[in-house]
Amino acid sequence: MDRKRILVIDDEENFTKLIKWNLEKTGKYEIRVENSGLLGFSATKEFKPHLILLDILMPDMDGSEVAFQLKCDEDTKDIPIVFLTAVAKKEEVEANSGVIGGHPFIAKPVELEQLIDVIERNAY
Amino acid sequence: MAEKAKILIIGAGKCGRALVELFSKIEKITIIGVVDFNQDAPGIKLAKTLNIPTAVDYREFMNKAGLNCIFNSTGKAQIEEELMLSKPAGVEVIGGCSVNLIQELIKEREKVEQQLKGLAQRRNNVVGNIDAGSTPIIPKMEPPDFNKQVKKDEDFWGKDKLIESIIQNSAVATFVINSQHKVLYWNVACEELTGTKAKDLLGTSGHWKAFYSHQRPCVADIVIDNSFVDLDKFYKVYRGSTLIPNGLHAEDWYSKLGGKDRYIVFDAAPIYDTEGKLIAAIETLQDITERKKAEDELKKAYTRLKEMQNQVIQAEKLNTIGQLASGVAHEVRNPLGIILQGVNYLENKIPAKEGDVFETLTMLKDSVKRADKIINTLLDFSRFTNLDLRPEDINSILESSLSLVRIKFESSNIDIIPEIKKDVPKVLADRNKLEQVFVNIFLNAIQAMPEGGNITIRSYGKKLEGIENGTSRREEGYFMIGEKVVVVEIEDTGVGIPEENLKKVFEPFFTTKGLTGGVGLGLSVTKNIIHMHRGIIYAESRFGHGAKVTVILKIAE
Ligand SMILES: Nc1ncnc2c1ncn2[C@@H]1O[C@H](COP(=O)(O)OP(=O)(O)OP(=O)(O)O)[C@@H](O)[C@H]1O
Ligand SMILES: [Mg+2]
Repeated sequence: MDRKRILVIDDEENFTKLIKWNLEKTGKYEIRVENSGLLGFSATKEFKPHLILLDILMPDMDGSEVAFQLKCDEDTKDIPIVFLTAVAKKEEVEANSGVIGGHPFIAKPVELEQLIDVIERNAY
Repeated sequence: MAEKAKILIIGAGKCGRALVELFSKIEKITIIGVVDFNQDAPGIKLAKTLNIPTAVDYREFMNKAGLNCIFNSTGKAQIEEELMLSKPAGVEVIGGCSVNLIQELIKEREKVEQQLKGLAQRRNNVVGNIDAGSTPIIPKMEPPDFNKQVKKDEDFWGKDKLIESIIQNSAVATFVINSQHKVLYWNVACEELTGTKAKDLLGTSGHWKAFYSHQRPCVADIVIDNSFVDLDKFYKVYRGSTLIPNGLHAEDWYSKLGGKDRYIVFDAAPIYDTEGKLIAAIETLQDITERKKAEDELKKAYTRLKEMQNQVIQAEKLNTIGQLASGVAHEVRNPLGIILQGVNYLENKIPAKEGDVFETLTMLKDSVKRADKIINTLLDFSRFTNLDLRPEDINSILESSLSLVRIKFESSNIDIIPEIKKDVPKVLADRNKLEQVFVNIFLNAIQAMPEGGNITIRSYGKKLEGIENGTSRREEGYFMIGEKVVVVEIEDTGVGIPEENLKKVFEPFFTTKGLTGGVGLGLSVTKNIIHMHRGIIYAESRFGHGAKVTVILKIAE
C-alpha cells in the first residue's frame, strides 16, 4: 500500500521533527518538513503531498498567504490543507466543525491520535 | 427709652420741605426749627402748619439745648463752612450729597407707595370678581385693610403696614403662622402657587390642606414646635437652614398642587419678638420643577455617560487582555505542542511493562492539558468585546446550560429544584456567553457537593426597590431604583464559602480546589461576562451551609 505524502510547514523545528518521527513511525505516511512558508510553498510542487499541515503564524510568509498562493495554482489548488494554530481555542474549532475559512483546523497542543484522525479524514 | 433726636433744617426749598415732611412723621425725631431767608419757601409754610418754629437766620437755633444734627439743604458750600465753624461741639452737620441722597430716597418711597396703592386696588378688584360669582361686579376701590387678616392680639404685626405689604406682594409664595399654628398671612403668590385662597385659611390651622390630603406638619409647624425628628417621614430632602439658626429647608414632589405636578422647595424661619420669644414662623415656597427636571435629565445623561465610559474602559481592558492572551497563547502553546508530541513519541518507544515511565508520561500530558486550559480561559477574556445581544428568555438559557452539565449532576447524586417563574421578562443577552456563566456556576455547585445535595434554581422579574445587596455592592451603579430587572439565584447545599472569600472568589486564579481541580478562572470569567451585560453578580454563603450566587440582569426594553 502506498504511504500518503504529508507536507508539514511550521517554523518550530522541534515540533516538525517530532511530528515527522511520530507520523512515520505509524508506517502509513511519508513526511516532508519545511520550516518556512516560502520554502513550504515551493516544496509543494515537487513533493505533491496528499495533505499539507500548515502553521498559521510564521515569520516570512504566513500560513494563510501560503494557502492563498496554493489555491491560485492549477497544480496545487486541490491539495487539502489542515491549519495548525496556537491562537484559536479548541471549542472554537469544534464550534466550526473543525473548519475555518473552508479549511480544517487543529489547535496546538495536539495529541498524535487526534492528528492522525484529522489526516485520515482529509487526505485524498 | 432713648431721648428724641433734635434736628434743625436749614433751607426750606423743595428739598427742605421733603425733609420736614419726612422727619415730622418720625416719632423719634423732633424738628426744633426750619430756617430760610425766604419766609414763603414751601418748607417754611409746611413747618408753620405743623407748628414747627421757623426763622430767617439759623443762629437763632444754634445754641438750643440738645441739638443733635443740622441738615443743610441749601446746597451752598459757603453755609456749610460757616456751620462747621460755628456749630456747638457734638452737633453733626449733614449736607450736600447726603441730603440729596435722602431726597432721592424719599422720591423712591413715594413711587413705591404709589405702586403699592395701585396694586392693592387691582387685587381687590380681582378678589371682588372671583367672590362675586354671577352677581354684578362692583370693584372695591378703597385700599385693602391688611389688619383684617391679622388677629387682633398679634399686636406686633398690626403696626407696620409696610411689612404687611412686603409679605402680601412678595413674588415669593409666603405664609406666616403664629405660635398656635394659626395662619396669619397667606400671600398672593402663595394663593397662586397652591391654588388655595387666603380667606379659607387665615386664622385657622388648616394650611396643610393646601398640600396634603391628611393632616401633617409643614416646615413652619416643625420650626414652631422646634422638633426636628422623623423628618424623613415627611420630606424627600431636608436640612437645617444654612443661613438662619433653627430654620428648616425641605424639598419634595407634589402632584396636582395648584393644578400641576410640582417640585417645591420650602424654607421656614422662626420669628422672635424683641424679648426673644418665638411668636411665629415664616415659610416660603419655591416651585423649582423645571430646574429639578433639568437637573434630573442632567443626572441621567451623566449616568449614561459614565456607563458608556465604563464600557469603553472595560472593553479597552479586555482588548489589552485579549492581545496579551493571544500573544501568550501563541508563545506557550507552541512549546506545549512540542512537549505533547515528545510525550507521544516516548509513549511509542517505551516497552509496555515500564509502568512508572508511563505514569510519568501521563503526568506530563495532564500538565500540558492544564496549562492549555489556562490559556483557553485567558482567551475567553478577549472574546467579550463583541457580545451578540438579543432579547432572550432566561429560563431557556438556564435550561440549555443545565443540559450541558446534566451528566455530571446525574453521576453525583444531586437533585435540581427548579423554582422558576413562568412570565419572566426577556433579557438583552448573548446566549452563548450566559450559558457559559451558568455552566460555571453549576460546575462550582457540583464541585462543592462531592457527597451530593440539592441545587435550587430561581428566576423571577422584579422592580428594584432601593439600595439592595447587589446594587450597593456595585461600583458602577448601572441600575436605577425603580428599574425592572431579572434575577437568577443558584443555591446549593455544599461546603459553602467562608465570609472572607465572598469577594475573592471572583478574582482571577483564586481557587481552593488545589492541583486536581480548577484554575480559579471560572467565576472571574463569569463576572466579566455579567459586567459586559451591565449586570450584577454576587455570592452569599454561610460556611458549611451551602452557597448562593445571584445574577441580576437588565430586561430587554
Ligand atoms: N458553589 C460554591 N460553593 C463553595 N465554594 C465555591 C462555590 N463556587 C465557587 N466557590 C469557591 O470559589 C473559588 C473560585 O471559583 P472559580 O469558579 O472562579 O474557580 P474554580 O472553580 O476553582 O476553578 P475553575 O472554575 O477555573 O475550574 C472556588 O475554588 C471555590 O473555593
Ligand atoms: Mg469553577
